[in-house]
Amino acid sequence: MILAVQPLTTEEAARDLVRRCVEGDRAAQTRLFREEVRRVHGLLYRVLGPFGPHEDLIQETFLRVFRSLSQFRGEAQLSTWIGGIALNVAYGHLRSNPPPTVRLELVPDARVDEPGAEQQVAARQGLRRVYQILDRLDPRLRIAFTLHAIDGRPLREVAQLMSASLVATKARVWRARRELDKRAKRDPLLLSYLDGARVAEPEDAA
Amino acid sequence: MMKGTPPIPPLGDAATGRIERGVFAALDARPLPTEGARGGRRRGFAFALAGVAAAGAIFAVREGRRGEGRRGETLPARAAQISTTTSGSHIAIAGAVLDVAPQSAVSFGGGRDGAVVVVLDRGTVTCEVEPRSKRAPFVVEAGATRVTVIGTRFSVHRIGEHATVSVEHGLVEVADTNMTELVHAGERYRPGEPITREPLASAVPAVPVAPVATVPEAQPLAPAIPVAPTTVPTMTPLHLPAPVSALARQTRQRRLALADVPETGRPAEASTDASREPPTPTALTDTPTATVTPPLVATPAAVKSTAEVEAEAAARAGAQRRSVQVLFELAAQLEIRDPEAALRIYGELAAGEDGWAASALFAAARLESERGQPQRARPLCETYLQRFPRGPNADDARTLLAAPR
Repeated sequence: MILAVQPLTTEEAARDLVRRCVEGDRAAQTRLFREEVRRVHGLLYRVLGPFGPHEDLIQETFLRVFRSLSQFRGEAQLSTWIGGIALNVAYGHLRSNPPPTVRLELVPDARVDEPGAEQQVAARQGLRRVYQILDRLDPRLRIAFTLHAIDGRPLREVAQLMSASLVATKARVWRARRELDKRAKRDPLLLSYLDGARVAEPEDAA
Repeated sequence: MMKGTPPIPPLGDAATGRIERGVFAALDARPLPTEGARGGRRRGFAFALAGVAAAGAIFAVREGRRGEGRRGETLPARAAQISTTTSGSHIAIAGAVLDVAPQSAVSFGGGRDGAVVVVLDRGTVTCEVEPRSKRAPFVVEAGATRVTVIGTRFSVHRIGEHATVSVEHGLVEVADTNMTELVHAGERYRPGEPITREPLASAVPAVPVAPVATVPEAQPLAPAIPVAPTTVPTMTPLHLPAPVSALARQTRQRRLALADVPETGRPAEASTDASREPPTPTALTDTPTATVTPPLVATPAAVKSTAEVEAEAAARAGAQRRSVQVLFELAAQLEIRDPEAALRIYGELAAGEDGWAASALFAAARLESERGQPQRARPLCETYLQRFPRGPNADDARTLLAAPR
């Protein structure tokens, strides 16, 4: 049973927690882990899609976090700093693990307005198709696109997470979207999914 | 942000615990550099302790995973349980009729989205499920195998923590450890083996359909009908993309076959051999004494209004479109793993005359081109341009044709 933890409300509290973690205080480390694990999971899930060794990558992220926590200088929020490490882990994974030839793994149920089984299957297959296309993209384009277009994060936040400039982030999102649209022209299944899925883009923080 | 993007599934407590144990076991095995941790014998002792802790943690994680597999974290609350001994049982629930074989145990409950969940604890259950297009999903769980039903008749036979699934008609989605597969009529899924599709006539023995031992008075449609010994016809292989004339010849056959699709089922396999009998929907077993319940959808009303007939036709057309879409998706998935199979499916779809036919025809041409077969791609492109001169991929087809040989 995982106990609920109080959020890290102030910078002071965060700094104190970091200090205790660096000193090897297991209770503090546990608290930091439990505070951030779901956020890291969400980030990795969006980038990798429903596939991938999420648990292993979350574990790898936190090992890196704890091992480099002494270098945290407090210039960004702790959660943003941890998110950057998670994205580095995801990037390394995507770089070193070319996608398998066929992706047939389970895609968890999509929440749709109607609970019909057919709609759920169609939504799952559409999303599976999107991630199949993303598998072929440069990991940097993929990460920028998933965080901005799928997860709805502002470009500025994506840029900060990726330690990239706003212009470079915009370009990555644009290139990924162009590729997806190009594929969709030849793939009616993807096109129908994207047509049904596209709504207003998140506000660009530019 | 994309609408319809599924929410991120929450990380469960069990998974969180696993990761937490893994992180701290690894940290214990190689502690963070701290002032107090330095020193010769003291450090050696700490490492020894850490090693023991790590081993313990790894053991705990492994045991936890095993236990989870046994317990099934996602099992719904069970509302009722039925165990059979020497005779089977016949049950009607929530738009489905279940034949529970002897020596089997099933329980029923609710799942997410109001899904009806049947948990097969042991043995075999054969399900006849009404089409679920507008209803909550119907799910059968057998160990790690999860079968989501779209409207069909099928059998699930539990083997340890997994199950074999035989689909007689209709379509189900089978999820097992780290994979998901659509299983169509006349196909069988087996755990622990590469996904293969084979006709029921290959007589996989793992699905003994027991005779229905008890037929309650409340049986919804019709009594069980004795079935004479029958031979199940072998499934015809799908046809490769053919030249225009052959495609045109096949079109009529394909339309006829599609018209026979029961609800969301895959179209009956078209055959150019007129003497071949259509698949027999009641032939899960060829045992002479077997009894089979007729499909739930098989009883037409004696008198139907025009509106009812039109609504039925519209529903059937919708089901056909969805079937075609599922086939197209299957072919797309197979492109890399089994391009020949993908081409066969594209060829099947190209024989139609709707939008999917155009897409499938071009997809076949593109695939041939991508696999270094321009001499096969060219006639397909030409066919495409003849049949669909203003099709969505007409420009792409011309580009392929113009590409250097």
